Amino acid sequence: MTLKNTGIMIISLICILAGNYFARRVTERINLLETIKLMIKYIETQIEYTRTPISSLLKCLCENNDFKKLTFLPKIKDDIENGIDLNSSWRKNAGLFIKCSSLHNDDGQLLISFSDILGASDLNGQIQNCETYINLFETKLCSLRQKSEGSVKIYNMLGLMCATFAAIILF
Amino acid sequence: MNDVNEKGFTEILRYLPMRFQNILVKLPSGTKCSIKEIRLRANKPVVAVTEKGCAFLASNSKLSYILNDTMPVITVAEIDDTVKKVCGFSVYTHQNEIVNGFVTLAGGHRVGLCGTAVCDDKTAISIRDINCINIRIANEKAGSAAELISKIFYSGLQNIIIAGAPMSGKTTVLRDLVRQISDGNAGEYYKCAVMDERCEIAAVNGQVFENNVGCNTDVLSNYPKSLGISQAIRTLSPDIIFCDETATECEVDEILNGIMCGVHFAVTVHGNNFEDLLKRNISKRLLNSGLFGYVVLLGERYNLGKIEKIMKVGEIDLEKYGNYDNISDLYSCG
Repeated sequence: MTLKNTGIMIISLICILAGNYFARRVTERINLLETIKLMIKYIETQIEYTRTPISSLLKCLCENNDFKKLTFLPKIKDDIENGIDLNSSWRKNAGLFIKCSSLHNDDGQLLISFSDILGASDLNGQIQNCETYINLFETKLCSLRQKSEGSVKIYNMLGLMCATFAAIILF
Repeated sequence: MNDVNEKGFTEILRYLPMRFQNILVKLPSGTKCSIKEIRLRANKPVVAVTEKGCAFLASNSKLSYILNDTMPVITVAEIDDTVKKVCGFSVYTHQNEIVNGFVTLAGGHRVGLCGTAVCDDKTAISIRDINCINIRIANEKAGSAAELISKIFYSGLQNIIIAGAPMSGKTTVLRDLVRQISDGNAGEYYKCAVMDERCEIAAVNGQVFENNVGCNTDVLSNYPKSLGISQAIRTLSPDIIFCDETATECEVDEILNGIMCGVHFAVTVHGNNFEDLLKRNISKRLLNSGLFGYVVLLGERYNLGKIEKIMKVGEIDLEKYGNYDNISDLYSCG
């Protein structure tokens, strides 16, 4: 009997945690997208004001606590220091980051394609590239924020309901 | 000296395509030190310019002065990659330099770029289809200006013109002169200002100078010389200003104006010999001003930093140089 009760409790707990996990992933995704947007804004400002080269920009980004979540940045910085091409390094490291983060594939594609022109054009081209991606991420964030309020509640509720349902069935 | 050259050679290696890095890194130490320039051209073998002339890079890590078909050629994609690397993947940082056909690397190495100019009505606004890259390895030759210190500057600051052909070591001598005057070798710790328009003299990397330009030197990096000179005079109160490769009338105007303000100048100009200086408008204007005390002529190409002759302007027998008269109508402005 005790074993059965323990099993029910564990299953219910798993259901609640799963609901909570999915809810948290939505929040995390929004936070990450906001950080990425902030990063692009930072890059744009630095390029516009001081024309800071990419290697120095990456160094500044890595040292900035606001961007600690973007764990692919230090790897790209190291790659560039070792003479590896920015574009291929960005694709590789951002790709790996996306796989183990809460970002969706379409978010990832946007992040990866940002590097296609990064550093490869004149000042105006760089500013326009940054502006375009800031707008794209902002659009994504707007729709996501609208959806998130409902989906966070739904995931939590679903988890709780599954837990209750499992408990009733199994008890 | 050899250590310095090999350091420069090692510094530029990382910008080259990997397969050429692997070949070049195995060159004998003496050969590495003798290389002054590395030239990359699309679909052509790599050329290394040494003191003996142009040599081609063979796949067995040897330089050959005779071209043959087995030599590895550099591809267009490798040229593109090299351009990206020398720009630090940041074309926007170097867009003005690219228009002028060069990028300066950390360490002061100058990379010349050659391709198709993109022009608007009057000037080039960019270069596309870059097909040739010339990497010139910077040299720090400590002591190359010692003769100038003992013969010219020991009795006090002077205005001097240093002239030489390309690759004769004008920048090398100027850099050592800055260092020695700044460090007090001329008898006093004079305040020095360097117009480092191409970031070759001090090779500033971030906020640090990679080349030794002395302890009492202010470096204005990337400033157009004419702007930098007036700014230095107004804000830095230098005793002497150093300008590399004086090439435009406006720069001459600013230099002459600076001398009138009581600042001394050491400038370099292109010219194989004194006759060449008299033929070129820029150097002729400087000499004609009567404000420069000495002309220093450097030796032949590839003989870096060798001082051939020091001439005191007042003692030059101008008759010897033919039709030299005071051509004041060449003065454009100022």
